[in-house]
Amino acid sequence: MSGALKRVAWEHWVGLAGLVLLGIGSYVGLVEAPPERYMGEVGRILYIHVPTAWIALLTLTVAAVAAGMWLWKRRPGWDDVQVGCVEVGIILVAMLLVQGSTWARPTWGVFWTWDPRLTTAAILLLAFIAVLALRAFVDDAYRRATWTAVATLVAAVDVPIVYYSVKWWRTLHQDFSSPETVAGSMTLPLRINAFALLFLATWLVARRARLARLKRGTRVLEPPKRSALVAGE
Amino acid sequence: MDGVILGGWEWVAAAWGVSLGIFVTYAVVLEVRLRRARGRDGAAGQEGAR
Repeated sequence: MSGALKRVAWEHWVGLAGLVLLGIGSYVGLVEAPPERYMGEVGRILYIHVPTAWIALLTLTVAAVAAGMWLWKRRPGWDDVQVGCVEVGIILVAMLLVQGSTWARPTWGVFWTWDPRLTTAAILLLAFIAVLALRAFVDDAYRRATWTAVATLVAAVDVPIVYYSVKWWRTLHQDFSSPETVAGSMTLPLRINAFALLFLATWLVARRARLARLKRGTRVLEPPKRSALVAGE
Repeated sequence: MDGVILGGWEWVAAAWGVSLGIFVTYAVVLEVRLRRARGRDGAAGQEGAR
């Protein structure tokens, strides 16, 4: 029994912890927390929307760090992490946009508006989808990792723009929230779900990195050989 | 009470349900991809990591 438990990959324990926390956070957010004064029950969407935003931006920031580390160290593990973070980051931003649109319809009256926060978040999604599309077009593994890293760094420029968009431009979207601006009974589900999504995102990034490692096998990533045609010496 | 949005549980259910559905779908597809890759593991001439 203990041998079987030891054989379970470490990331599954992290995923399980995330799942348990998400269950607790959902209960607290959907049952225990009071309805928001102006938004009523619809305000409960924020208990999943805000943590998703935090973890999506964090995941894509880690993608940029991994991209930088690949360009610096050229260790294949960094490429595994960057592709994991990019893919999981795309999923989180897609979830974010669905949650935001579903919240916007009953509160703003529309599913979508070209508000700076929404627009920059949509650009973030498209930019990182473009990173994966570019990756799929490169056959050589070494070049693929390098092109992905460069594209990831370019796309990641939008991460701070999304974050600060509510400060830089006039926007319908709420400003930053802090424990000082949110009622105590509402901060608990936000925090629990933030840790839940952090653990779940870590689980998925680790699984995706494992897939990349498995596909690479024992091959060593090396710069492609230069052309055999060399000008006369 | 002006401006209060009444009801709205359907929007809450839609937001949580659809977004977590995306997450679960991705997790399932990823596990299937991992199993397939493990099935191919060891076979000669592996495809490059995408």
